[in-house]
Amino acid sequence: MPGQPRARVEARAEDDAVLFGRVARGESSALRALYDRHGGRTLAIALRLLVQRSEAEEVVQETFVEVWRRAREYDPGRGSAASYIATIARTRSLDRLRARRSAERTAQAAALEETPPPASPLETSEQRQDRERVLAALSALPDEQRLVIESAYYRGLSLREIAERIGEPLGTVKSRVRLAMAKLEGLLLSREQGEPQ
Amino acid sequence: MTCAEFKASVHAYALGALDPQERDACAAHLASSQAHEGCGEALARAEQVVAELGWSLPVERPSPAVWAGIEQRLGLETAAARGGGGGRRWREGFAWVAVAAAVVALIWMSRREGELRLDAERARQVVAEAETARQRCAHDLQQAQGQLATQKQALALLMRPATQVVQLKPPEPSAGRVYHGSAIMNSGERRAFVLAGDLVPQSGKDYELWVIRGQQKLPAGLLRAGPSGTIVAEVDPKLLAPGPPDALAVTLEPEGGGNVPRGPILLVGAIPKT
Repeated sequence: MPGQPRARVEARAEDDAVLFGRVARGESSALRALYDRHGGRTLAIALRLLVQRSEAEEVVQETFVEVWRRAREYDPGRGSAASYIATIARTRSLDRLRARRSAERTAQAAALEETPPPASPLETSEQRQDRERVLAALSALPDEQRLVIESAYYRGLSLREIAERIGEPLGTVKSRVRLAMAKLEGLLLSREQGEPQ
Repeated sequence: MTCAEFKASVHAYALGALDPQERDACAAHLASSQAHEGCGEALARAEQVVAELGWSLPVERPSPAVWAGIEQRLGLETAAARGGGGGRRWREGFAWVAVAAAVVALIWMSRREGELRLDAERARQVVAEAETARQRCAHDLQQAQGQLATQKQALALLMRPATQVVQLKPPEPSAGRVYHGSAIMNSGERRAFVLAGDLVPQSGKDYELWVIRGQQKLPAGLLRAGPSGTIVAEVDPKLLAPGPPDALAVTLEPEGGGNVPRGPILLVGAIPKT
């Protein structure tokens, strides 16, 4: 049913905004609710980049502690709470990833695939629909654009590293990222477009 | 960095894919107080797209230790830095709960200590009673063993060819309790045993055995029977050393007995001269 997943995401975002308001007032139960809702996704983001579960779980802890501290700074008009949490988790994970020695990082990167990992047996039908919606949007990108997005997102590579890897000028990679992100924005954030075409 | 340059890099910035130098330049541009041309909004949209990509990842379930760690960190944070009403209420509430729990624990420990003390006292009493019972049993056992040994010796003496059995009877018929007994006597071996029944214990009284030789009435010991009143006792061999006595008698004496018979004669028997 076109539009349904996107509508669900927006309804969830409204709830998240209420929870953030309560967290800003010091209600730990609201933080727990946010954790229950987004903890699994936060761990997935960190785990994808860091691989080591213990380190990824430390990132989850740091992320929600930061949510608690900075809840008053959160502005629902600038983006959803889910986006806010995911940005914190991803930034923390990338910081850790880049703090590692380059040799270790190279070895880890070589072990990773650009493509998203397979579905978890824990996945609910709602989560499956969300995942399929994003994968469909990614598959709608031209191959060269999808490659740079997946390299940057799933492997945490910088544009310079991607350019070196695929043998293209840095400017070309930067351009492909810009075009891909613009298209994804249209596919994933548009209110009118419920599911990727 | 201009706003146009920032917006050209905003997607890579949101993806975290810029080199440190470019990343710092973007952050500085955002933080600058200059009038922006939609830089903040562009970043918000880019971050939203990046966050959406996270939905492509299979959900992982954090271990219980993760939330426990968050709570621990929040507790420290609340104590150290957050001065907000919610945090203060949380702290105060926790403090009151802790005080209440401590009071309840003290009351419980006090009552429990009293209960334990009573239990210990009861246990000590039980142990003391058990020890008394054990000593009583040991004493009874020792007496029974002594009686059994005496009975065996009496039986052995009875089997001897020269042994005589003498009946002990009340000196005159009595309307009350009828006492009866026997003496096993071997003059050659200078040994004798007295067997008696119905010598039931009497309060403040003791049964005493006498060796009678002529006018002499020699005390030969107290006869203390069990509840059945039956007893087998050996006559002190020293009293038989001069030769067979004329008679044996049992009297009822004040508790502890004496050197001279004062109470009534219950049993008496003359020893025949061989």
